[in-house]
Amino acid sequence: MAKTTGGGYLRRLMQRGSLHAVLILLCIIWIYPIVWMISASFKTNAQMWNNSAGLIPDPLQLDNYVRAWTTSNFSIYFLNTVIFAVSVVALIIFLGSTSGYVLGRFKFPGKRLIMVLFIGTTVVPRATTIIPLFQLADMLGLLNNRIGYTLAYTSKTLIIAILLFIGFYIGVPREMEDSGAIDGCNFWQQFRHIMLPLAKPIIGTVTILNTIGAWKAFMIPLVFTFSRPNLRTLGVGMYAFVGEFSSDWAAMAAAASISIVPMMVVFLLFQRYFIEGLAGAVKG
Amino acid sequence: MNAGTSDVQEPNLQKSILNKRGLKKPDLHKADTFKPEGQRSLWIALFLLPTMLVFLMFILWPIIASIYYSFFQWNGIGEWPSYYVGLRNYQDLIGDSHFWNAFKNTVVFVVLNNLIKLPLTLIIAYMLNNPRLRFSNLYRTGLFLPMVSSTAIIGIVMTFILNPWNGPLNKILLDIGVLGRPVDWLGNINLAMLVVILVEVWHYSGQYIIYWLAGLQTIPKELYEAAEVDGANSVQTFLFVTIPALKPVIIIVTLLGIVMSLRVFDIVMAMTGGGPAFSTDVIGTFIYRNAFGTASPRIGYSSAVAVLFGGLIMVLGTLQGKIVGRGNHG
Repeated sequence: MAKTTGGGYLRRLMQRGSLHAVLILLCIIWIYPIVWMISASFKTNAQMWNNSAGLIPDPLQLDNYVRAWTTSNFSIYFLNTVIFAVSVVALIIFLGSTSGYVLGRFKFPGKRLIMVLFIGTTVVPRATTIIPLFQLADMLGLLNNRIGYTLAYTSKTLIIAILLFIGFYIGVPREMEDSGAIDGCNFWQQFRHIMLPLAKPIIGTVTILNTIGAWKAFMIPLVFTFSRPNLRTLGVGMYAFVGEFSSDWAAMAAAASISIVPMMVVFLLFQRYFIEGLAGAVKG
Repeated sequence: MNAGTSDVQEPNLQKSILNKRGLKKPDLHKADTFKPEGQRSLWIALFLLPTMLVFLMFILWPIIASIYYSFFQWNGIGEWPSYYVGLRNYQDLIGDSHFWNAFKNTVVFVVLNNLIKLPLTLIIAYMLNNPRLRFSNLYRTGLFLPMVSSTAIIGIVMTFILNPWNGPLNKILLDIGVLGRPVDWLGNINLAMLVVILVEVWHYSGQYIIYWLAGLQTIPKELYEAAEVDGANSVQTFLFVTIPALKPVIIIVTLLGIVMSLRVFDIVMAMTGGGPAFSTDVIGTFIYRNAFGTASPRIGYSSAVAVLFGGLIMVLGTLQGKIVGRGNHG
């Protein structure tokens, strides 16, 4: 404490300087691929090959976006992904809040078994059950339609949302329900008008985590749209696109930007919810 | 149940909630009407029903069916497998070098990925956790940004950045003289796996920085203050204060990292498809190829792989639960 000599101050200043230098270097490396992708999306194919590392497009042109958006069907993939993400989020909030509510607040026979099954199966990777899932969807006529991949994807991420809702509802004081009971609310009204609005912060976290999660989904939409290319999501569309037009890299960069930039904007706007949702895994 | 006990405890709270929702004022006459237990049980069942249906159909059934399929030889044609082969799929599996190759690659991926990712992200989080650090939020945003991008898409972008003919990475490394000639990062049997691992580290590092930052917040400030009074520098503080205090979090995050990286599929599909010469083939791509990527699918055989591998992860997951549980008690 007493030793704030000139040498100590200089040392601390240099330490701080090198800390910033390291962090700035890391950030440059971390962001470079993304900046590269966005800048490449404005380059011509010729320029992409001749000046591949450069980040300033010259001439800057939008033709890549036109090709990706119209001729390569990314407008369709984009719309599919929006519909997919919205349906997944709506379904997860409905299922997660209802079951999270009763699991978090009531005692009933079989509850322990349900919890053990839920938690035990979260670690099983999707790849290991993709075959029977595919067969089941085929039997039920859910293959190659929106309902199929929405349900199949939701089932996997649902459990995490349920756990978040359970964690929230356990902490809500009992009086909150009693106030509804006095008012003559039935069970559903009590949930809908009192308990669900209380869970707003959890709903926010679940919405952000799953919007970004669904936007990134790959394996389920891939396997569920084999014979219906017009149902592909952005990730699957991109994968197919590279297989079909592998020489048009500038359009690929535009397609990648169309896919990635919207979620970065969502992340920048709602960073807090996203971080809180992830951090819960460690704190919980 | 306890409807009568709390009617006077928080009247303002209930009123404000009820008024906001546009409901009628508390009707004291109805306070005495207790709902029969049976009706509540019915509601609970009703609330659970949709979730249980989705869970049983899309999670539990596929696990059970995987186990069932694994005892049959089946090419997936027809509604149901019929040619029972007992344990033969498992016997074939043990003698299949492609399976063991994919198994080995998965282990390499999991081990190397976590050995690089966990210490690196912990050190970054430690640097960012300093409350006096300026621009901390800016650095965080920059480091978090990659993780929200789709793995499949980022993998494809990376194949261009890494391409041997004129990819930006080769170009930069040639220009600054690190390389004498371009390297085919993803076409080289010895390099491809390491490159895929590094891309995955880059992609998901933000998530782990968030985990570590959450963990670092749990360390009491007094510990750091004591270290500062003792004249410890930041490296000493990290080694002798942070690491020991963070032990329970380190166990959780490490197991989380292992279980999550065992799922590896998207990044390999997008960057190499398992090549070159199966050098990046992992269990996920092995199952996919045998089930969907061939003219004669081997559903029973792939299911046996899935069961063996899923079982292994279940064991690891249970271990995680046990260790985490023990950490909470002591």
